[in-house]
Amino acid sequence: MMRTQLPIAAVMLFVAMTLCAAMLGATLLSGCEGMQESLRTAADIVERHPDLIGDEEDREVWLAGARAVRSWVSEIDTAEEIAIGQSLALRAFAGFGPPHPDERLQNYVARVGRLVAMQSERPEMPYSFAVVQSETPNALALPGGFIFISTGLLTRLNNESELAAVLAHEVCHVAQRHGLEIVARDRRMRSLFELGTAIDPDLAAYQEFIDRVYHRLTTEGYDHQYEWMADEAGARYAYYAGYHPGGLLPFLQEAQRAGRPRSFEAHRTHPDPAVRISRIRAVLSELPGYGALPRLEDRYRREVLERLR
Amino acid sequence: MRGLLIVLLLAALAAPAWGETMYARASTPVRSAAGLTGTTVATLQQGQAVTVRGREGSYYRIAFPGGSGYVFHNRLSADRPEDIAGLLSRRPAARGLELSELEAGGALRGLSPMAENYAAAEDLPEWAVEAVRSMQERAVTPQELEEFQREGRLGEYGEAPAP
Repeated sequence: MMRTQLPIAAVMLFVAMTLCAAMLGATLLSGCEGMQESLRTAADIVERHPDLIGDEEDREVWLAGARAVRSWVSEIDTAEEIAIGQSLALRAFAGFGPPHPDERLQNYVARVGRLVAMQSERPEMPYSFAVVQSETPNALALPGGFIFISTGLLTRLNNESELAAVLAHEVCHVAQRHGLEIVARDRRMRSLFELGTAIDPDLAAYQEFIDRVYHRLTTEGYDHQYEWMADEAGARYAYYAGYHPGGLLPFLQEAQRAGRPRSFEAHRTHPDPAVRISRIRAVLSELPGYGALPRLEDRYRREVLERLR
Repeated sequence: MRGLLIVLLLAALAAPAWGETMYARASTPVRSAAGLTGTTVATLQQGQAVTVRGREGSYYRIAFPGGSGYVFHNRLSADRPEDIAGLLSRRPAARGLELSELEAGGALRGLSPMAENYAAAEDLPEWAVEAVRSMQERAVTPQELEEFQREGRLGEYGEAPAP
């Protein structure tokens, strides 16, 4: 078992390390809104743009890893993804507590979320959004399109473009199947059962599987490269939806001033805020005319801040 | 000069070839002219295929069976969307799930057998099950989403830069 897992882990690490560079290059190649290329997984990126990796030997390793990840992810179709996502969402509510009872607030967040999700690589997904009552600033994306945001985070944001940026970041984790890759890796290792027919499976194993994936998503989080990708793609989703795309910057700048890694996702590990800021600024420099786009401070104050007082 | 060349190259790569098929990202108004002054002559459903005939400013000139008109650039995607509603109806893992109001991004109804079994096995409180149902069933109609954008001067209703 170990003999097969270790090389795969090494390949995965290599894939992750080079993913961001490939993503950036592929994004440049793919161009503008309305014509955004659907880069669904690491495998898609390297398959479509193999020339992004110059060294032939490196490219072969990269391609092997990318094909492995794609194979694992492709074993899970969208119906299964949603079914797994529902189980994870149940687990999330059990941890967070009941949703905030203000339906107007919930609807407002859902509308902002839908707008940015429509600009993602998977606009057809049934994304759903929930505001949970927690003072801890937190946001969470689960496979299947289940996205959570805490009241503690909402009260720390200043305008709708910042909310759009946070939700777009989370949408990206779903649209580009980042969480699903964690699910797929786990499922591959365990080889527990065929989830598609798991109506009466080994339920204890399924419980363990869900708990382990949830733990991974909420405490360890995604690889830094995925966080960078979500920052960058999120800025683009927000921009194409019509928002000022720099909505993550104030939060990250505050973290940078505080001199400690801090994020709106309650993971143990976070990329350095300075690196995230730099990468987002690089994206902004590619987006013409973004400075004129609205931040919608008044609407955010009316629909969120005043309602949470 | 080199920067300009790169920009032009990227623009050329990004521009759809006329005659290319694109798909509506969501329910989308088709206008009689390239701008908000154009009246709505049709509404594309999410995933509906159209043929791009040209571009005027921020709008694509499109044709589709039974009509033609102009659509704002951020409403179309080059990628064919997945038929999730059809998939849900075929897969055992999704038995009991339905997708409705697809045009607004979809509102999911029901819980999968896996999720129901998980909730029972974990002895989760009923409110948690209801919270998931409520979250996924929250419908945002296309009209509400259009009004939301209009009020915020977002996208087509604001100062969105041309592609």
